[in-house]
This record gives sequence, C-alpha cells and structure tokens, in this order.
Amino acid sequence: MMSYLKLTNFELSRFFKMYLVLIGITLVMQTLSVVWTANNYLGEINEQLSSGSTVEEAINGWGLFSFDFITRGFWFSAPILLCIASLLIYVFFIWYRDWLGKNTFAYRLFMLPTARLNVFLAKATAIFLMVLGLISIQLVFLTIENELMKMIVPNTFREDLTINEIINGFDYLRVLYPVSFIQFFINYGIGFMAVIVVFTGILFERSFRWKGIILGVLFSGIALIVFFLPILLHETILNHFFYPTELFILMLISGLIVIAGSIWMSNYLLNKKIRV
Amino acid sequence: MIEVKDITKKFGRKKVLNGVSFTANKGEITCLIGINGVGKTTVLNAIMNLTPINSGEILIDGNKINKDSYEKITFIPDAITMLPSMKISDAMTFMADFYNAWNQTRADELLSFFKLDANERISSLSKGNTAKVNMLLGLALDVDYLLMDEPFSGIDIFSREQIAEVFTSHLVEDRGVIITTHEINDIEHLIDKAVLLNDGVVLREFNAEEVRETEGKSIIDVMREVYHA
Amino acid sequence: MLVKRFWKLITLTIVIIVVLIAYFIQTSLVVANQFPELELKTISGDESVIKNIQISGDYYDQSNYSSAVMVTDEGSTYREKLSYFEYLEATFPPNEVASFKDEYRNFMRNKWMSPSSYFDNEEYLAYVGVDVATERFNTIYHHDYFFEVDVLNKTTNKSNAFKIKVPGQADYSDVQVMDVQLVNGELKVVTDIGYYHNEQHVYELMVYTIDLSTNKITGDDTLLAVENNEEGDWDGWTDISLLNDYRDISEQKYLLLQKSENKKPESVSQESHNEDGVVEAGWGVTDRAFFLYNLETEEFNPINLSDIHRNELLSTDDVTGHMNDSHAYITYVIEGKLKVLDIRLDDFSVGSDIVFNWDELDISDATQVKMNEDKIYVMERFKNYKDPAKVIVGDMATGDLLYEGEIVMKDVDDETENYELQFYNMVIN
Repeated sequence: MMSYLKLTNFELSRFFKMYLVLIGITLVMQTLSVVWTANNYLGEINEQLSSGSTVEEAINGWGLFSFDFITRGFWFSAPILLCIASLLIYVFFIWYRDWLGKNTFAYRLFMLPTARLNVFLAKATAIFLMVLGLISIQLVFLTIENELMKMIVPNTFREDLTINEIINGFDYLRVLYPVSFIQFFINYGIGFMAVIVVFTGILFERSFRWKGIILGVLFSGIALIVFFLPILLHETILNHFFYPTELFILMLISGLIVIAGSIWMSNYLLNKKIRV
Repeated sequence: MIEVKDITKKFGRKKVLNGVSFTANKGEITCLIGINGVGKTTVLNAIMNLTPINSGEILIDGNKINKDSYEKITFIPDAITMLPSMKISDAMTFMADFYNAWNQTRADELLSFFKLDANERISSLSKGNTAKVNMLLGLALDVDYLLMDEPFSGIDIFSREQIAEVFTSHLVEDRGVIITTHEINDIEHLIDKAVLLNDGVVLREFNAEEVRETEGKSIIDVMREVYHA
Repeated sequence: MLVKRFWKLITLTIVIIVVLIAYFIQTSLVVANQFPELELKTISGDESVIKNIQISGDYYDQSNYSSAVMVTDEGSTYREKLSYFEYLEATFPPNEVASFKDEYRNFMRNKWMSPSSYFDNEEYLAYVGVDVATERFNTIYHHDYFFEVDVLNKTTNKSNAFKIKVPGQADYSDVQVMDVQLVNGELKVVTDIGYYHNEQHVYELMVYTIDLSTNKITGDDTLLAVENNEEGDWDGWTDISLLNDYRDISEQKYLLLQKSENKKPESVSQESHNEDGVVEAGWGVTDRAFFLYNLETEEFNPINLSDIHRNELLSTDDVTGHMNDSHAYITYVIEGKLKVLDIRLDDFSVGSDIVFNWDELDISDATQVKMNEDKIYVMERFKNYKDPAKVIVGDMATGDLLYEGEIVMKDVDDETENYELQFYNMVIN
C-alpha cells in the first residue's frame, strides 16, 4: 500500500510541471477570453449608445450579456481541449517515457521490491487524479471567471447565470459535469475502464512489440465486446428482455469484469512477459 | 547461490540462448564472457525477470525470483536506471524510499569515493560519472547478489580504474557478483569463475584459480583455446 | 513528514474531493428548487373522491427546464427530480398499466406500455401488441404486421405467448390496436387499419377474434370503414372513431363508435390546421352517428338521438364517450355547459341529460373528461400565472358536484409568468 502511494505520488511529480503549465494556460486563456469578450460587447453597446440609441434599444440589438457568450468562444474551449488532448497523449507517454530515449527507468521500476502491479495501478491512479483535478480546477475557474465577468459588465447589460446554467448551456460540459452523482460515477468509471484497457494494450506491445500491437488491439476489441455484451444480447437475440435497471446492473458487472480482466492480464504480462 | 538451469531464449526465430546453465556463488565474482552477441545481457535480464525466457529455470538461493528478491539481488545495467532530470541526491532519496536494503552510509561513502557532487543533475554528468552513479545506486544496496552489465564499456580510463578498485574493496566483499564483459583485461585478476558463452551456448564454465593451478593457464589462455577452436 | 512528502498527492486529492462535493451539493440544491411544488387544493366537496387520482402533465420553464410532472392529493412529483434508478426504470408519469411492471415483472418484459394493448380482470392479464417487419424494394416498402399476443393466467401464473400474422394485409400501411377484450375465452382485438386503395385512403375499424385454445384468428368483423381522398380536391371527409376510453383496461362488453361527416367550410384557411397538421373539426361537421357494438353477440346497433341532441352535437367538437356495465355515455360541451347523454345498454334508449354548468365553475373549454364507475372527472389542461387548473368530480347518476379543487403552487412565491403547465392525463386507480 505504501509503495503504491509512493509510486502514485512519484508519477504525479513526474508530470506536475507540465500539469501546472496546463492549468496556467487554461486560467490565462479563459481569463483573457472573459475580458476580451466582455469588452467587445461593451464596445458595441457604447458605440450604439453614443450614436444616440437608448439603453433598451442597445440591449434589444445586442442582447443581454451572459456567460454563454464566453463559453461559446474558441478561447474558452481551446484550453479545455488542449488539456484533454495532453492527458490522452500522456496515457501512452506515461509508459513509453520509461523505455524511450537514453534512460532505462523501466529497469528501476521493475526492480523495485514491490508488486509490479503497483506500478501499473500508480500510473492509472495518477492519470485519474490528474483528470479529476483538471475537472475540479476548471469548476473553480468557472466560478472565478463568472465573478470577473460580473465585475466588467454592468448590471443593466447582464444576465447572470449560475454555474449549473453555464454548464447546461454547453453540451460537452454536461458530459464532464453531469447533474447526478451516479451519472458522474458512470462517465468517469467508463473513462477509467478505458484507461486500464489501453494500459493493458500498451503492456501487450511492450511485451511482444510488433506482435503485441495486434494482441493489444485484439484485447481492446474483446474488452469492448465484453463490456457491451449485455446491450448487444438485449438488442439482438434476447429481444429487449431486460428492464433498464437490470441492464444497468449487467453493464456494471460487465464493466467490472473488463476492469478485473484487464488488471489480471496486466499483472500477468508485467510478471511473466514484460521486456525492458 | 544463483542457479541458471538450461535456459532458452528466442527473439523471433533466432535463439539467443540455447540451453544455458551455470551457477554463481555468494562471495565469488562470476564473469560471463562472450566476444560477440547479445546473450550475456539477456542472461542478466532473465535472472532479474526483466525478460521472459522460453524454457529453463532460474533459482536464487533455491527460490524463483519474486518481488522480495529485489531486496537481495540487484542489477546494474549498462545505462543509468534513474531519470535524467533527477539530481544525484534525488536518485538516492528515491532508492532510500523504496528499498529497505538501502545503506545510506555506504551511499555517502561511495559518493566521496567517486568524488561526485550530490547536487548535480544526472543529465549533466559525463559518461564516466553517469556510470559511477549507476554503480553507486547498485552498490549502496545491502544485497547478497550484484549483477553488472559491461561496467567498463565506453568510459574513460580513470573511471575504469576507479570502478575496478571497487571490486577489491569492502564494498563488494562477500557478495556474489555476476559481471558480463567482452574484454577482461582490467579485471582478470579479480575473477573467481568464468563462464564462456558463444552463440547462445556455454562453451566452458571453470574456476579461474583451479585452472591456473592444475593447467597453469590464465582465463585469457582458456578463451583463446575455446574461441579459436 | 508524510504530508510534506506526499503533498502533491494530498493537495490534488483534497482539491478534487472538496470541489466535487461542493458541486454536487450545489447541483442537488439547484435541482430541488428548479421545479415548483404543486398541490391539489380543495375548494369544496369530499376529498376522498380524489384520493386515488394521478394527474400527469409537463412543466416548461422559460430558461428551458422542462419535466414531466405528476400531481396527486399528496403533492407533486417531477421526473427530473427522481433518483437515478427511478428515472431509469419508471414509466413516468405512471399510466394505467405502469403498476403491472411491479406485479407481473416477467410477463411485462418487452411490452409496450400503451394501455390500449391491455386487458385486465380477476383471472387474466392479456396483451396484444403490433410488430411490424419491413422489407424494402427500391423505393417501395412492404410491411408485414403481426399481433404479439400474451395472456397471463393469474391463478396458474402461466402465460400463453404467441405471434400471429394479421390476415389480409396486402398493402396495409398502418395497424394499431385500439382495445383488447377477453370474451368467453376468446380475445377480441379492436384494430384500426389504414391502407391505400385506388388512390383513396381507407380506414377500417376491425375486431379480430383470436381463439386462445388454438392460438388462431377465427374471425374478423369490420365495424366501420371509410374512404377518403387523401390529397387533391376534397370537399368533405368522414371520420370514424372508437369513443370508449382507450386507456381503460377493464372489461367492457360494448364498443361505442362514432362516424362523423365533415364538410369543407366556406373559407378553409391554413389556420384550420392545428399544430399537428390535423384538420380541426367543428364548424364543418355535418353529421354525427353513434353505434354500439356488442362484443359478445357481435350485434351492431345505431343509437337514435333526438333532434336537439343531434343539433347540439353538430355545433361542438368536444365529444367524448364513456362506458360502464349498464350504460354508455356521450359527453360534449355546449354553451358553457358539459352535457352527458346517458344511454341504456339493454334497449339503447337515451335517458335524460345530466348537465354540469362550467361557466359557474369557471372552467375553460380545454379539458379532459374521464369516467370511473359512476363518477365523472374533469380537469383543465392548462395552468399559468395566477390561473390554476380546475379539477371537478361529479356524480353521473344525480348530476351533483362531489368535489371541486384546483392545482396550484404550494409556495405562492414560486408563481411567476415564466412557466407553463400542461396536463394531459388523469389516471383513476
């Protein structure tokens, strides 16, 4: 347990600078986008006011300013997409960086007097914590940015939204921040499962190299089929036999089977097949 | 005792090891000698369970390797096993963090013996100093067995002398050591046992002193005989 | 020491936990306050008659929150406020057959929850659904329609499930089950069939008889059929409809049918089509005829109405039908009054009118009328700002008002102009 925690902390440390940079980029870009969008809007309003329009006419023309104006902009979404892309790449890089280049850190990791599975679990946990961390920090940023927007745009021209309304106004934010905790658990559980399956695929490649890529893809395919098996059966030969709750429980079980199977397979590969 | 029993290893269709057997005792320096091929490193990797073998068995003090074995046996590969971004002190902290066998006093001793600065980053070290750090990280563990892969290759003459000195010191003492090399000039006098490998098979395994006494031959003499035959 | 060493891990974990907990608490509070609590407030009368009614509808908010809602005498339930699993599982708002899912869980697997497909009595629960297999030849689609039959014997807990092809269906384009009845061991499937014939759109109201000992269709009876010119020039059309409450799943011996003739009005404009694209009836109705069909004897009888009733029925478009053991009822709204025509099933004679004065009760025209045993239930379909939806219950035999109530917001502060409530069904258990 202690080794697992130490390794997790270590894996976090290895990406931490990059992680802080990602957070920094997000904060800077989103803050600038708040300032820029709000000022743009006020500029248009002022122009109209100075050309003799009343406040009502200006509002009718440009609409009330709300945070949706900001979330719809490129500079708001870009850092989110950048963070997602970085973490997706890092899912692979977290393993390959131990093999590639001059350093042979994989030697060290696999010669540690602890179960090699801990290395696997620590890497998975690190990815997971970093994902949840970004999600949480983005929520904090949203709150701050919302307040900042209120400071820039005067009351008259503003329609205030709560964090939930901001999230509602944007489809992909709803996927990241579901309303119900169970839905949150499902979304991120599936994400976690996918990370574990990809890790297993990587270990296949690291164990058997070229042949391993095929095995890894095959394994991921089987994992996908196993996970969706209840739905596949339900839609085909079982002719909609299950009730939604039953299907949910079966999917939960199939998901757990995929996670357990992947971890078991990874443990096997790490102990019996891995090559440094 | 490390027992390597009839191990076979294939890379694709190529047999790199084809029924290799030998033993290495505690308190002795066993040298895996091969003039070409990758078999030597593969043997060490196989002992450490860093590469799977196709058949055969490896026992360490009668047991198959497991996670606890890494407190008893360690491996110093020919490249550094720490992140280049780390300072030497970070690397030592990392080792101390994970190994019960880590001996800080000995680590400090080695640090001054090798004249290394703990605040230097691994990435900024010379080849020779990198090899020394690598050596330090292995030697500072209180383990029974030490495996070293080509500890003298590609480094300058002074570093080589310094490293060779280690073998005669109390730092190695009664441990079992397996080293691989393709040129044994620097360390011939240190070797207790030689295992001559070629094309994946053991051509000869012999005790250096015995051969010297009974046949009056040095290891190099035996090598000439074996490899030129 | 430990904190210092693991500070990254600890900080990140704490940030995640704190922020996410705060987020989910805040979200649940938002959801809890998103939809106003509704209640059925009694104005006068006996509250016990509304003990078992469920009124279902939809709530829309100006900021795009919407939710199905159910109101009972105990308050309101919103679909969006259900727990995750309730949301997943429940037929919401619950309809007449929703509770079967709990009682006969296995029987109810893979069945449409449409009440018109069900029949329920002490001994049996019967289901007839329509399954369609579609084949495509270039641009032409060919449909094969099947009845999916399943009859549960409640005493033995065994069910008899089979699939049977709907007969004579060369070119059917629509097959719908309107009602299912079990009469003397035979299933009567009231079916609405549509197809094109000689460029005319044909509607037929059929009753198929399925023998449950052989699982075969042993008879079909076309009750009413009409042909309409679907496109092009038309100056009139004919409607046929089953007036029995299609949501009623209990035993009914008679089918109450209506055939209406509609004339193209003098100036038919686009506005005469409502949102669903359906031509609004009403000012074009030139004739309404009513029939009773006995499912047991297969007798088909017209109902003879007085001239007064006939004329009144031509100037209203809110005609509904109801049925109990000994009577059939036709209701319609005229001049601010709800009239109920009472038809005896033994001799098809029309008794004296029962009248509920809507103007006095301040009820608008947009209502739903339901009957249960000897009571009539009426609810208004809309509730908006400061205008509650009325619910009244009357006695069919005497015409007395038994209950008067209204659906209002529990918390008056919730009343804003920014919402709309629409009710579409009333389930009386």
